[in-house]
Amino acid sequence: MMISFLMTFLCSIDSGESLFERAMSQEASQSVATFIESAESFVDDAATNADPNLAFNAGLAWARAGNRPKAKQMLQYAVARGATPEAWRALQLVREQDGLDAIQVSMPWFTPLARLGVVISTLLPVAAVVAGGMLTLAGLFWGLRRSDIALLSLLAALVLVVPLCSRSLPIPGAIAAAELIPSEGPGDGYASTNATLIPGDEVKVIRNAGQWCEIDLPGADWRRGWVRRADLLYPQDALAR
Amino acid sequence: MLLPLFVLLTSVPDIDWVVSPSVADAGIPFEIQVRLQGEGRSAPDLDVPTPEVLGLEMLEGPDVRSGSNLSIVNGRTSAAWTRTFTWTVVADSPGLYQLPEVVFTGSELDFRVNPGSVVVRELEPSRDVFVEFRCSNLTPWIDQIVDLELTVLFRPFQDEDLGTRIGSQDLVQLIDWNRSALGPFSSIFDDQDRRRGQFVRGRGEQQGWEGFRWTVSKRFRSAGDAVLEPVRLIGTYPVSLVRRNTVFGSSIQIAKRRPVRVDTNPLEFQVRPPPQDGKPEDWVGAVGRFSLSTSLDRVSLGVGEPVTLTMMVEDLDGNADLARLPDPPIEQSLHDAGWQLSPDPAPGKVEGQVRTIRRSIRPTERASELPRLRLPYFDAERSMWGVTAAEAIAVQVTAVSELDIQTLPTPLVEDPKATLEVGPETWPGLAKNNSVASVSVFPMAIGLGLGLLVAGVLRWSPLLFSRRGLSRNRKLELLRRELDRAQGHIQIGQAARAYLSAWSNHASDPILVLRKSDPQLADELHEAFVALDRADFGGGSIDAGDRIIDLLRRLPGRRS
Repeated sequence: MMISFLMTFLCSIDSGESLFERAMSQEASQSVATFIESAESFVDDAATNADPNLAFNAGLAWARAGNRPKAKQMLQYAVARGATPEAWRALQLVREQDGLDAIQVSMPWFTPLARLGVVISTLLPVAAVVAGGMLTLAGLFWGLRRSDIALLSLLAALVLVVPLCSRSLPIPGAIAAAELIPSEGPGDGYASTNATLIPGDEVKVIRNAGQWCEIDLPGADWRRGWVRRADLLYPQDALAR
Repeated sequence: MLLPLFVLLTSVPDIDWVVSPSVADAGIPFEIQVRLQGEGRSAPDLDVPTPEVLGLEMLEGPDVRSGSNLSIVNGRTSAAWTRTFTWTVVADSPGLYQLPEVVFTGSELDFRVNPGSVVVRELEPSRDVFVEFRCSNLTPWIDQIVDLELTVLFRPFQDEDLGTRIGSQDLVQLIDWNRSALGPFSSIFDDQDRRRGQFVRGRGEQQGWEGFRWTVSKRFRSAGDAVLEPVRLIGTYPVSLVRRNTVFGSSIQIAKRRPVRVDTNPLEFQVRPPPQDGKPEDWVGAVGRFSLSTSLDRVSLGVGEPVTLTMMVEDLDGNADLARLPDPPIEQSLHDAGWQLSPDPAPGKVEGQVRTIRRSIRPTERASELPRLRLPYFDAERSMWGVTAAEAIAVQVTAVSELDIQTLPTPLVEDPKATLEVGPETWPGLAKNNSVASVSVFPMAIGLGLGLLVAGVLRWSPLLFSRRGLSRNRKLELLRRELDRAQGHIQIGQAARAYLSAWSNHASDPILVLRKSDPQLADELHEAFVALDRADFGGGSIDAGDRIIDLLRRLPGRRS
């Protein structure tokens, strides 16, 4: 009886995929809440599974729910952490709603390495342990004055270590979480600039000062402004709850 | 038992405000700080109120810094944490300001900060630094670019006793750009390369002064009154110099300096809308001076067949904001000439001084040419209206004819495969999720550390033990290295004798041992040692050492 109760309970929990499919079949007015529920479900799953495709699916759900800042945050995280190339295409689709002067952060340089790291982690879940063992072997052979075998072991270890470590490199960029009017300085006492950031605008952070950060303003005249850090979403923190 | 707990929960540490600098100057930002500390490994969550003081303007904060330390004394572990909250404030007028009593509410313990005070003294505008914020055109047209100038002049500082003069090149380094309010010039001073402006000399009252001038451009988007906030420079100016003598020579440094604050007046602009006289009816807001040209990707068309119209708008003066330039009003002209315009938005592209706009258009039966499309603009520099028009392009539009059965292509043998629906207009589907292990650097770091440890043990452990346990070949190898490193006859002689002794297994007469296997080499080696001993006393051959090393290398590898 307990087993049947447990099975009934487990079946009653909807996965992110099923919620997404249900939202696709709903009316537009009803689907928003279901898409949000689906996105949160994907993020919950990411707590036990490091697959970046979960972040990609969450980004898709946020995009369908009309939340551009969260969609961009999730999709940029997914791209940088080595999700399927479809994540980059989905990010371009979200960017189509950007203004003329919008800044677009390019794909991080380590994305191909991170993608390779995901493949390695999928095929060989204990890849980190294997890499550590190879590093130990390299040290052993070098101690035994077999430099040739030691070099081969080191190279084999690096082939595993570099892609694996690239999966946790910091992701650059930030996204405006709401409509923002940057000010001329780091504080409420400074005058406002005449620029406006709409929710979802990507910004280039120049430096941080306390709770404020200096950003490049949209446009081609090299102006800068200050916004509160709390008003920005960072792709680095996409899965932090 | 409950009494100590009650005392612990209600005891409040004695905390005071810290003001840095202790005496502040009016108009110059300063910091007020609260430092909390307690026992435990981490600080509790605190509800931090913002202190509100009448007359003090809060610029930034709180900037939170945390720290902790762990100490072990006589086997007892104790931990302590500190947390510092810093606000940056400024007072515009001098006086005594009372910092309020503030309570930081924590989950277990509240922290009460005692009231404090801060003295703000009057700071006269500097007579050593002159700042001017000006614009040559205070009544610009809307969207017209105006040049803003910031001129900073310094009175050169001279020390008659030391015979030293500090010029503007060094005095500009004393300005605190981060605390100065630079308004529209902030982007310049954030760039280290652009901080050095154009060198200028003072005139009139500032005759003999030197300084720099910076220029930025600005445009106003809406008509009416506009005010640019004044620029405030904050820094220091030297009072006296001192000569310091060091082992590297003497150098002159600033011994004492005083704070400097200089404010400019705000700039008030009267932004004018374009005049109504001569305003074209189809003006859509373009401000600047432009040239418009058009092209079609082909001129032979069927009725209803879409073709791409490319419009290139060139900014002739280089002052216009091409990214925000409205599209030329082409819809009515195209409609009158028998064309249909696609409602798709035109994103456009800006390269240099040219903006390219592409639109999709379709001819009707009436279309015979692409009309002269025009772009009316307001030339703000010359205060006049203008219109640029592109050349008309003749096109050949053929009516859609009925299909002739003979001209139809032969049917394909295989059914065409449905093309995948990919492209920017379709959303991707959900990705398949795999179980992916999270990245942990721990095993890799352990493996690397273990590898280094093993390598170190294997390679360098022989050096840690006595040489008694080394093999004879290893001993000879080490002694041969010492022989190669030896300098001078005495060292070479000692190393050579040690090597020969080891080679003979420490026989009492190594030459005699060698003579049994190679008498000639033994004689030569004996003579070489005699020559080396003579060289020690100034006689004999100079290269006796080389001769011995050469002979020792010829020793048989194994003692017979």
